[in-house]
Amino acid sequence: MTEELDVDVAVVGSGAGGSVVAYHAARSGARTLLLERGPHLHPRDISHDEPEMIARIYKDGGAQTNNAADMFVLQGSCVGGSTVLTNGVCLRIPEPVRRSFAAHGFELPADELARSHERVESVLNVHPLAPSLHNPAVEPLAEGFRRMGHKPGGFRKNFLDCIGCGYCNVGCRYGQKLDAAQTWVPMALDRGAGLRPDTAVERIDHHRGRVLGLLCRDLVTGATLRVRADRYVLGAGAIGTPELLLRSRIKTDLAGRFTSFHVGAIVFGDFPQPLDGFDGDQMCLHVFTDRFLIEQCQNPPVSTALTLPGWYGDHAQRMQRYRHLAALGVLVPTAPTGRVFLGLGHRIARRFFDHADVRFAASRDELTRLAEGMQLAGKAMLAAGATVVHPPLATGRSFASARDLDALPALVRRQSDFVGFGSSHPQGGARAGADPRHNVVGPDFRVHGMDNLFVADASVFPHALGVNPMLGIMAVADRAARFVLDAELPDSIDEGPAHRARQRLAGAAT
Amino acid sequence: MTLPLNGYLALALIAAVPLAPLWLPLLPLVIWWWRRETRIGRELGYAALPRFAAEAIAAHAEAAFGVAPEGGWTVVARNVDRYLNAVDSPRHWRTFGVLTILAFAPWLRLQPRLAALPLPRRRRFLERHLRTTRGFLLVPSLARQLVRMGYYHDRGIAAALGFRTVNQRRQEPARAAASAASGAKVAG
Repeated sequence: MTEELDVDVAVVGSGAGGSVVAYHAARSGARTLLLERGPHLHPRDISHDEPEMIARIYKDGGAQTNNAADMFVLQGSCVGGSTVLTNGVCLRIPEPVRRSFAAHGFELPADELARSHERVESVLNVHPLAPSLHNPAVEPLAEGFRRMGHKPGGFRKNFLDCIGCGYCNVGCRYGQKLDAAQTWVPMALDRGAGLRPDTAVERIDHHRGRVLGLLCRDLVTGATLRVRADRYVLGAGAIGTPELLLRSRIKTDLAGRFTSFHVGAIVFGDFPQPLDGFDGDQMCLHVFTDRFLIEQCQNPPVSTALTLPGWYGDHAQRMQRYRHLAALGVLVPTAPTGRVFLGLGHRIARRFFDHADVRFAASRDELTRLAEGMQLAGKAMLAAGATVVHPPLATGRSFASARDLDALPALVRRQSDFVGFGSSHPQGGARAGADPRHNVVGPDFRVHGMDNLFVADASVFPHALGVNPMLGIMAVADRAARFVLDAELPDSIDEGPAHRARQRLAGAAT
Repeated sequence: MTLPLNGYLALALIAAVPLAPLWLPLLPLVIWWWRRETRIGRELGYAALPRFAAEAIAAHAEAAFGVAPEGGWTVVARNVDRYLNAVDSPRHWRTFGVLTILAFAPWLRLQPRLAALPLPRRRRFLERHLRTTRGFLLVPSLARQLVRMGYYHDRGIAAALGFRTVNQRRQEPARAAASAASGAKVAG
């Protein structure tokens, strides 16, 4: 039997984009339903069991790759989406990116975007990471960068009372990372919204430019669910949203095109003294240049083993130096040359290929920039006292001097020359812009040619942000909510865990 | 030659077509064997892994790492099994394809399957033939990530690396004092 639901606003995806719109919709009094493919995990359901958590909260158990299987694409698949897996880094959309989007026809007025950023930051309690939470590898790494003439910076994060356990990437079991599952989603539910986790939206039914309903499947019971609404919002992410558009035959000429990434891999440095980088926040330091970004990324043992380069005996020996290892991730924003599509397998054997495929190959320039970033990361670690650095090369080669590292760019010709090459920041795929001939979504977040279908996630970005995108996606979704609801948003949001903590502290002070 | 992973699988299927008179009569036997291996896997306590895949993982781990977990090499297979059992993905079958190819990859070199190879030969096989991120042998080499995950998830192995869990760290006197003094950090 098919269950039927009638609401005012149906939101697909509960990550950085969908959760924000769902909250605003519920707050406005609209009957709101939030649909999420993944499970709903409470902090008590989250553990430090890395394999189990990777299996449960990452899309495809962390094994989503591009078509050539030489690039991992990591995304969350649970209530809260990828915000549950982030290191809590909160960076605003850079002004040059905002201007570049505007030049493309996707206008985000500076003052309105600033207000959106502020609103989101207030809900997420964004503040500079306390030095007491720094892991012990930060100081030597910072010193290494200073010796190389770079000034490392810290991060602003969305934490409340963080204890620096070092397990951000498998979700926060203490409920202290204010991701979407801790903020926007419960705030929306408190305002009367409904939530359907473990529910896959399989198709959007539409006729003559108007969405008639969503055909969904309950992944636990297998039951079919049909959702009817006045307005529909897609927030399923840069792969899920174009996939759903393609499955539903909406804008098939453009959906999935112009996908971009922040591609990267991790460089390890082996220090003579134990650093115990696992003991504190995983990501405390960054160096940004106009060619690449470098961000610290210490990991617990399993994730370290999965990203540490080296084959068999070499890898095992390097892991023996776990306490001595510092890790720096190098990220490069790519051009929007990727594509999300439904492959041949999806058409002829859907049972085995019931997913979108991702095609992406980094350009020579992008690989060169990645290699340059690895050079700088490696040299900084050597300058800080590391005896050897392990860049993520498929050959497993290590480097013991800065001079040797100069050869690095010449060793990299294709992305399969790396190990652990991947991205956790896919963007684009349902690009926003004024011209319907070249863009899926208009500047008002409405899908071109559709009356009541909106997109409010990273897929609207014309190109990669160049910084960790969570805060930017939420700010853009905050703006999208205005168009979806056709109403002004409140200046401030006085609810949620951060607001309650502020009130408690204010009460204690008086 | 570099092909997408699905490309290799399609190529294998295409290559199998002319040989259909040979393998088609064997297909019921293969299905029977797969079911039997899965059933025996269940009897051995594996929720997702067929027996041959569990044996291949344990054999791969023994060849790749010097020190066995306290419970023996099958611990690695059990950890991988728990991970695979928790994954819900339309790509899931590919992982079993990768593990099957890993288990029988030595047949391509006219050697016994991986778990049946003596340790020095097994080590040599992995070092010589699965050290790759390209070509067909990329497929079984992907299994190394599962094996690493299963191995380093073992508490004893992680402790031997010097890793301290959050509870162990909390019991350190300096940490306990700092923790007692901490509180919510709020912005604004």
